[in-house]
Amino acid sequence: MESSYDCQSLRAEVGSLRGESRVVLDDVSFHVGKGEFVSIMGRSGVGKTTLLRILAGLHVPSPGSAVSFAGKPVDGPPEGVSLVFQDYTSSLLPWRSVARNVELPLEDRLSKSERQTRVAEALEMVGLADRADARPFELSGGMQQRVQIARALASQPAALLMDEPFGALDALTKSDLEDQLLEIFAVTGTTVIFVTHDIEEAVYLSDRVLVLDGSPASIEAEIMVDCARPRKQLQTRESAEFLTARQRVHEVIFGNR
Amino acid sequence: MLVAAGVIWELLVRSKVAEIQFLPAPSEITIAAVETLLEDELLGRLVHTVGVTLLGWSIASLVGLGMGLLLGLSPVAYRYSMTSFEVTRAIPPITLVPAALLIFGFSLRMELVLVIFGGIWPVLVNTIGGVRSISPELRDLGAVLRLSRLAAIRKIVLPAALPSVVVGLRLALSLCLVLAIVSEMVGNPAGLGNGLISARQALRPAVMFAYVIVTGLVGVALNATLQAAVKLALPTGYADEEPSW
Repeated sequence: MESSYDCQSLRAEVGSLRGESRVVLDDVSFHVGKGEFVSIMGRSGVGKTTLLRILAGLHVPSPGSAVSFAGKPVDGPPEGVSLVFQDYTSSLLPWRSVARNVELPLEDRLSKSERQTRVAEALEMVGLADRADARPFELSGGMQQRVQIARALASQPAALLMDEPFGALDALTKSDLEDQLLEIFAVTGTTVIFVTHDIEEAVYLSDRVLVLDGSPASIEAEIMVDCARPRKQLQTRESAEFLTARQRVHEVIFGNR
Repeated sequence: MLVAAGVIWELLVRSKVAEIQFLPAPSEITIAAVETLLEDELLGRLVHTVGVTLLGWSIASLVGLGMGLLLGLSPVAYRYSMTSFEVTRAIPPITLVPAALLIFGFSLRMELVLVIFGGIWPVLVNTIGGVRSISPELRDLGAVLRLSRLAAIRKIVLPAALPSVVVGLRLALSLCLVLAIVSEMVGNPAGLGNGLISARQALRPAVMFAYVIVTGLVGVALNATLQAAVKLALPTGYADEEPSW
């Protein structure tokens, strides 16, 4: 399989307020294939977000770590990678309309008409074509998160990194957005690396779930999810493959409870 | 209410109930104001004071904004200079009037230096505050989108810090007017401040009060103009386009 991300013996430290640093990740190695949907799971504080920030080129790992995207070592945010933050309120530009928020990654790169086409496509994909002129604060939380996803999609990224994107949404909105994400994943063929602490969500969306555990954390287990695509909330969640994968993830995280 | 107070004041003075030496009635003040205006003196002084205030405020705003951006964006610059700034800022600008007088003499330069020095701080402090309170997500966003440093400042940092910067600009404007008047009262012999003092020395209380009222009106007008400009630029609390700085 063609490679998207490749991490070898990754080690990362995070500075604390008092100035001393703590090793959060040690000897993390994994590979993500192009067009794969991989979730990263683990308890809170285990280093999931740090790992994602390293992949996004926002956090520099310790010397000796090897991280590459599309065959090139990551030293700063790589071209072709988009990031979706958990907190949509503080990630959107409140002084710009929805369409202008989505346009941001394309400015100075594409012509005006190309930008308009891309923005319209991205908003269509997340079902917000009719809210292009609204301001972010006029929209519900779920809609704001969709604006952020549209912004991430506008640059037609090779990889989409998502940091607990649905963590702050209510259950109904969450399952809507999960299905929308799966549709986008199917249509665009982009690689998705998805950080979450929701076991059901990780299994439902992913081809593979990586579980981080320990302090410093490393990859405790790798669970394949064999559920067929396209997935459906009811059928998939009742299938034997889903239940098996869910149980495996649960066992890795909680033991045999 | 202001009208009622004026009428009562007029009646008290006219009826000699309040016989205070050198307290003119509002009507006398109005006549004095019109007279000085006709003498062309008031208008010239008004132009001087407003001009110095606006010029000093503009320079102070640019310097404060530039330094505020630098200090807000660079943790190293912030760490190494904030203590010095806190100490310098704690000196009320008015206490520097005698020093400025000694250095620059009774001149326009002295007045401008004071106005600029005083005006920088509110802009600087509020810009630093605005920049440093930008969400970590927005900071990361500029990097992930691979925006150049300049583009990140223009498209993300400045608009996000703008509401706070505007507060600084408004504080600075009223402070600049105060400093211009004080400088004119004790130093540079020009403008409304000097008019006030000259009228007092010439024992012309009506003219003096006329200056007080005109100065007050200037303050109100400057603040209202800035507020209207801000409202025009930020219709819903935020500008739709990045301001073209």
